[in-house]
Amino acid sequence: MSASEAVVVVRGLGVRFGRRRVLERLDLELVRGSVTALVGSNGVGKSTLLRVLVGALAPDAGSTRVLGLDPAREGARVRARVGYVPDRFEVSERTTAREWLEFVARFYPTWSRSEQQRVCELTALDVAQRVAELSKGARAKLALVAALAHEPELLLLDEPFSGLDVASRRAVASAVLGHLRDAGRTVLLVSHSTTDLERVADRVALLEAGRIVRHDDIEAFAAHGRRGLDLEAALLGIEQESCP
Amino acid sequence: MNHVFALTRRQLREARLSLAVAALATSATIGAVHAWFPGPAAVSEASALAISVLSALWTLYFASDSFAGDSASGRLATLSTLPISTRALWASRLGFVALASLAQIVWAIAVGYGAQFAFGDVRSLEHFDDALRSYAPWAFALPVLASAAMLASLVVESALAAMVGSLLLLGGFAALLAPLTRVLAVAGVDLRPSVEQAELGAALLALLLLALGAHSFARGQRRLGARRVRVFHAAWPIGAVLLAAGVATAAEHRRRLAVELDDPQARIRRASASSDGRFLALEVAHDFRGAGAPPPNLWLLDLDSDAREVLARPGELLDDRYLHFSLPWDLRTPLRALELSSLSQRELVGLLEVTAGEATWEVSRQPADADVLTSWLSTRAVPEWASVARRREPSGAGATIVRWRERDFATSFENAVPLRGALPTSVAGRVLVLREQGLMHHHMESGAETFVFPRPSSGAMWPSPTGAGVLVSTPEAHVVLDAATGAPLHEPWLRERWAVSWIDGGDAARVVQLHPVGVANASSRIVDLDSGVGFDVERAIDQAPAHRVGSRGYVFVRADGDLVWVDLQGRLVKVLVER
Repeated sequence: MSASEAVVVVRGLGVRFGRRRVLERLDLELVRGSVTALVGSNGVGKSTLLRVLVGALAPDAGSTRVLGLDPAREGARVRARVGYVPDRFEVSERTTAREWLEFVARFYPTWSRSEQQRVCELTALDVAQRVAELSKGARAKLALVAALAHEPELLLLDEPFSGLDVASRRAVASAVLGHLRDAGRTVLLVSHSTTDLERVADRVALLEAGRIVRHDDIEAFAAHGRRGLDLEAALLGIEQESCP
Repeated sequence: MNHVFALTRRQLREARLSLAVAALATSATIGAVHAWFPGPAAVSEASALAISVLSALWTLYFASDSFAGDSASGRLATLSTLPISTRALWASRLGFVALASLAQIVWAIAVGYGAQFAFGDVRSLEHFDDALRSYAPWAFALPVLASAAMLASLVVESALAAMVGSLLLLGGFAALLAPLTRVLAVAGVDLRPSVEQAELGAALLALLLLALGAHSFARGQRRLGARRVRVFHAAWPIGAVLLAAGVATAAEHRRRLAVELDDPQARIRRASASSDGRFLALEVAHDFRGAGAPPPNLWLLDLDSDAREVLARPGELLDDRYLHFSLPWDLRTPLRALELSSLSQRELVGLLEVTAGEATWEVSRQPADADVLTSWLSTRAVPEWASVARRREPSGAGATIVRWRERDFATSFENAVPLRGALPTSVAGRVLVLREQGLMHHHMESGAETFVFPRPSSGAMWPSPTGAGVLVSTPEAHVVLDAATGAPLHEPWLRERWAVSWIDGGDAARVVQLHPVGVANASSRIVDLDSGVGFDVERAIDQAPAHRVGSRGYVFVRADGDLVWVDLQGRLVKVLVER
């Protein structure tokens, strides 16, 4: 894989909060068009890594390039080309979903009304509702629409399906992420649902103790399981191996 | 810039309910003032006050809510994930605070004038107009209030906490300003600004607080969600500035507070010699110009051995309670002095007693005590047969009371120094008193009075340090009289030629210093009226007059700045301090 094909290049990344080292000497490369699942146990630093990639968190060490830009210095430019669904999405309760999308659209030169419309339809989001009236799942859909409607080159999704019921997750995951994969977009996805990951991801990066300990094709990961092609079992096995 | 407009517009839209409630509250308050306050003048005054207070309150509120609420709810974090620069986000919040505050102020003023037009008349409108204009100079405080509240809003997570925090911050600045004013006054800097300087200072403070807020916000955006980063970056510059300013001021204060005897800038203000003239206490201060006179240092000097010691830094000599001349001191009667606070000459921190021994002095210190200090006040101008008191007459006039053998002699006299109006002489029962017809001797035994001298043109007599003589001035001349007999002790000195003052210290009963009037760099003449000896000295005229050191002679600062000791005939004995 050449560096020119890489959308994300992270070298020796270190992040600490006070004395606690969350990420340490982390290396990662994402190639254009790949859909990578970032997995790992709770509190291991998955959301932190995504925040570093969108320039919301300046790292303490290492270098990070996203679409050829340094997010710590050119955060706004990076975010203009990246779709990001954060783990916490808060908007004024009195505003409607449509108003929020119209507001957000002003900041993206590549915002596409048709894409907005398309994703809204795919997710079945009612944009006339006030945010206060939206369910947790509907808010997640709103965040997803806002992240996708400007047709980003890279998507960073932090638990995008949390709050969605089973039917919605399946529909959204298949429809939205399938659509992205077909469009050749690069995606880095954090989710605890291996079913969702199996459905959309083609690669898996396992984060443990502040580092990417394994980054491989999903089939290679799944083959690690004792029961054949089973990602959950494979991840569980790897986590147990990596625990002392 | 489009991003800033979009963000500002959105925030105004989100705050529309708060803006409407604030405007309604303003209207209701002004309406209540018109309904309940009696009389057009009271209504106008109260309306203007309400507009001013509400303007400050709404400015404070909207600035306090600029970040705190959104930060706590996570909305700020969501905005930060959009392609918006930190600068645009900050500028939009600043724009919102400015627009929201301005809108409320304009609304309040409009409602105030509207109510006057609706319910008042021409006179009440004029009154309201004047009252409102009188508050206008305080408008410069609004940017300071807003910037402090925005800064506080970055480091706490509720608008109320930010309001309290910003008021505490500004209160802290104000609290620091009080001692700073005193410290800088000591250092010769006048910190009492004019209105223009205050406005400029407020604008600078507002800009500094805004810059600090921008810095804190930018650093915080680099570690989104870590509020302590914003707290740290807001707090350390304030702490660093205060610490640096404090250390620099303290160092400068300490430098200026220490006055060395051999410093050419040092000015000897007063002296007090021991009875034998060997030891000399000096009150020395820097000759700085400024708001407050710098507090003096007290030095002790041994004329024989040249030994010297700082007695108090700062401190003052305790002098004669009535005439403010020095009191001689020795083994039995100590020199008494006050140890003052380094920040204020009016703050007493200790009492000092210095006892003159045969070879050296001994110093004892005790805490400041008003009763002890009162018991220390003494005089040598009142003879043993008499006691003097001051009394306020029922008419409100001041009176000096001389008491002798259960008899009181009272005379009205408004001068702060009572003995300048009634002076008990060395003859028991005889008081030299100032009357309309002139100086009289009042005989307390018989109540009779005898004429001594025409009434001085200055309206007072100037007793010598021991009260043995009085200096009086007519329109033509100065003359010293024997207090007991009223006899002149010399030929009059013409006022057009001489300025005359008493020489203080030791056993100088009746020694004067004459200085030619209107002659620059002229010699002063010291004349002992009891011995008749007189001589000329080249004295520095900006320093204290020569001081008698008992039978050893006189000490004074020479024209070249050196502190010198001359004998009773004016011959140089020693240069005590070269400067």
